Amino acid sequence: MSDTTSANSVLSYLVRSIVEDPDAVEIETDDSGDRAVLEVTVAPGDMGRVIGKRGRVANAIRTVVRAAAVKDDLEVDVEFLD
Amino acid sequence: MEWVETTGKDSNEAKERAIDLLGVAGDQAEFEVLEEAKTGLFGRVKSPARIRARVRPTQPPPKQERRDRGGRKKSGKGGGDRNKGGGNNRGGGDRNKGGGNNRGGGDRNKGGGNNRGRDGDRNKGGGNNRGRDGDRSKAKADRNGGNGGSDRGTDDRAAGDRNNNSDRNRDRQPKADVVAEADPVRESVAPAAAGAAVGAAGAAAVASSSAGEQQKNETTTSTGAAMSDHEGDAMSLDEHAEVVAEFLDGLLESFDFEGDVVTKEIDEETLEVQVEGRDLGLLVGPKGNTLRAIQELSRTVVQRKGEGSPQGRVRIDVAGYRERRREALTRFAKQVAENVRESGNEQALESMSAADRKVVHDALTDEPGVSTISEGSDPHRCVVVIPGD
Repeated sequence: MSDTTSANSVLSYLVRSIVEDPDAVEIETDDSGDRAVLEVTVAPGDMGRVIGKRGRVANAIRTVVRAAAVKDDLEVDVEFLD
Repeated sequence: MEWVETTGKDSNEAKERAIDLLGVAGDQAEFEVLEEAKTGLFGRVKSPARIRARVRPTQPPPKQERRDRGGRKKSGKGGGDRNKGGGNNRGGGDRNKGGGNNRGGGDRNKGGGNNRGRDGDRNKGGGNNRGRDGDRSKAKADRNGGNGGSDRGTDDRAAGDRNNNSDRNRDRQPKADVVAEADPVRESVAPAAAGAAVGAAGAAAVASSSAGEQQKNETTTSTGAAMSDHEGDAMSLDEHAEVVAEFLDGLLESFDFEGDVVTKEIDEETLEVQVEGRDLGLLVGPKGNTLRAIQELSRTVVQRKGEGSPQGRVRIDVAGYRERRREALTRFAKQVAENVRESGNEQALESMSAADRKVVHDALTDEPGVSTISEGSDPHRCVVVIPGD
């Protein structure tokens, strides 16, 4: 099990800051692969906000979350599930 | 109307130069060939072509704004000015654009206008103007050389931008000490500061950070006097910065970092929210990538959370990164200028963000013997340093 504490808390914070419905945000960690994958689910109406124009917001989130993962000594991927 | 005279191996080359000097699109200039090039034996140039050109008077070109890049909401003031600058230049009223000053000062919009012209011409010229193509590829070679030596100057790019002259920076209070206080004096200052917030100057600037806080507290209970400037759907610059600062506070917390978030005034329509603390390198990231991502996200947060369209610009700096970046970029730009002056060859820098390009333009505005333009389109738009004022 990898400990994705920082990445998780940062990801959760970022996503909740952006969405209209923070309560619907769920994050699961899938570490069956080589690197942990943080899977984000948001309310259907919020998907667009989280991804943004041409994925800009999603990529920015990934960048910041990867920085956080450095604290955990990890590499992570972030995926947005719909 | 003023004419400029240029020479070239043939009249096309001379025209291109003239267009560059005028800084307008080819179809906005008018030319008069003074002398065709005379070629000697074996195509050697005996005497160069001479033409004169000027910006064609009147008849403004069809309006073709460069597409606004995402999320850059303009404040009425700042944006307006910029657009106006662009319009003028393109309309041909402001011929003097070739001058270093003008160029450095105006920014991306103007670049947009001009540059489209330039690009257009280059395409047109592509077929019939071999000489110039030659130049270009040389410039490219130079550029590579330049990069080799220049290391981080061009490499790590962040969005460093405007001068922040420290004399203007009035240290706004970190919010911690303001929130809880129900200081009656401050309370009474709040509406006034809010009223003046857009123009933010003088006393208002001192009080406004706290005013922003107070204002927010008040709005939750009563939408009273403090809301006076909140009519319609504008978010004042201070509120704008407040949203960003709050976002950063939360971010620090989620990172489990300790740090202070301080808002400083850069100019009337720019605030910088600075994060200071130890070991914040993670928030800057390689080449400032993380910082840029954070800036991007804060913009999104402002759009989502804020009521109304945000006024002015709020940028984020972490651990003084932008300032250092700006200095490094300025040093690098001056060095390139030196090279260009000595060699007489134009030199293209590697592609940079708009903010970085502005730093370069600004850095070379007052540099004698060179001037700068931007060419290409994002994300490959880059500054070209050309010899001559």
